[in-house]
Amino acid sequence: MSNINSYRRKFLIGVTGTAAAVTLAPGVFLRQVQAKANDEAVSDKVRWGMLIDVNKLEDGGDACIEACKKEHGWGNEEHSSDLQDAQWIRKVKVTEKMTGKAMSLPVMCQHCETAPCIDVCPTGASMKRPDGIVQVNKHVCIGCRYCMMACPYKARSFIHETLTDQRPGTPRGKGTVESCNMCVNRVDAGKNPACVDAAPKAMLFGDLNDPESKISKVLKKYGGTQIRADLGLNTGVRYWGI
Amino acid sequence: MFCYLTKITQSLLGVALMLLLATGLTACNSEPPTLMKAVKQFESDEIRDAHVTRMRKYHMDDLKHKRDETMHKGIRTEENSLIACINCHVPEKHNGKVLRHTDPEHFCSTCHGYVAAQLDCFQCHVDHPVKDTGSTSTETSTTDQTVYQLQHPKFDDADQSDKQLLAKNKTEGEAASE
Repeated sequence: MSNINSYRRKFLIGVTGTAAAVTLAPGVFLRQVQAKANDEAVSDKVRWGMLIDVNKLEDGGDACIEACKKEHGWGNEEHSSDLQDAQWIRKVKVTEKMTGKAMSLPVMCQHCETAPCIDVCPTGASMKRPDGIVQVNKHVCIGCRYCMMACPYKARSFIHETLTDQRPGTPRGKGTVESCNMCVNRVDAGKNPACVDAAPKAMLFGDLNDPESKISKVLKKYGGTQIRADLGLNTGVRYWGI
Repeated sequence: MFCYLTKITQSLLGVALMLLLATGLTACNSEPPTLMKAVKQFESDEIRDAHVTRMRKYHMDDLKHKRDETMHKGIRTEENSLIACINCHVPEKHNGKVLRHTDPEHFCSTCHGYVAAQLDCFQCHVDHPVKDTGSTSTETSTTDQTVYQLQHPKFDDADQSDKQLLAKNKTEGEAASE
């Protein structure tokens, strides 16, 4: 989008936003996020996001990774080498050279607003839902792995072997690319992602578009760091303590 | 003479071919294979018959349409959901073991094998019912307030160190005044 168009859009949003605020009585919210009905389509009024407090993750995210493996059934690929293994979340260790301060943080798909993986996908398999969840539509994925190259977070992996006994909510198969889908099946059922449930004191999940949601409130008050914010991807996953 | 022999060979070959075709055709069973009975039964025969007629012809279209709705719109109704199909049409255990799509008794594979149509769904999807045991021990909803316990660490720490500093100053001040 050109600068002029984005300016126009922001201006129009501002105008309509003011009008809505005027007409509403105090204490009456525009909307509240509820578990959506099964037959209801997801809407762009919601943008799901996550906040991870690295200082409160005592194990550096091991519990989250275990919960993710259990939820989506990855991590027991017998015939794949270490370089080929599925990686929905990685535990990344960072050490500051100057002070020697070391920390580890879980890094998964950051659910970018303008995701590079979607830009490069030749078939439209790499997609973003209206509610901001970025995922791979494996029905149309041809396994070219362009998205793996394009992702600045190394969030995607490729399935190298024939799999059986997948989890019903997470179909996975040889020859396709996969990554964190923010537990899309759980979110649609009104639950938190599995990693957030595994570390409820260190992670927060919610609607970034709703100013009344807890995540929006704390982000407004204290901010949240994006990894590689210089790329301007407007990630849905934010961190504290990095 | 040579020409006569060729004709005989040709006719013999023709007869042999006819025989082969005839035996091949009679060996072919025109009866469709018997399908495994579904776990759930419909309330009335009319509903069942309508379901069977619809699914025989259109199950592939319905599934394809539904898959796009689920991927892009997050619509997860039971209707035309592959998981719902599997849960009803495939038993949890068959003769004491898990029934795979590679087994000819599997509901989908029986017909797909008969008409030699490749079955791609189960390269990714699970081919038998799985009881959802609940993936994590603590199930919390997105609207549950108890999960929202996050406090900003910097401010917590600052409060704590400020208090310590104040207490220290106080004791030192008291000591000096004495």
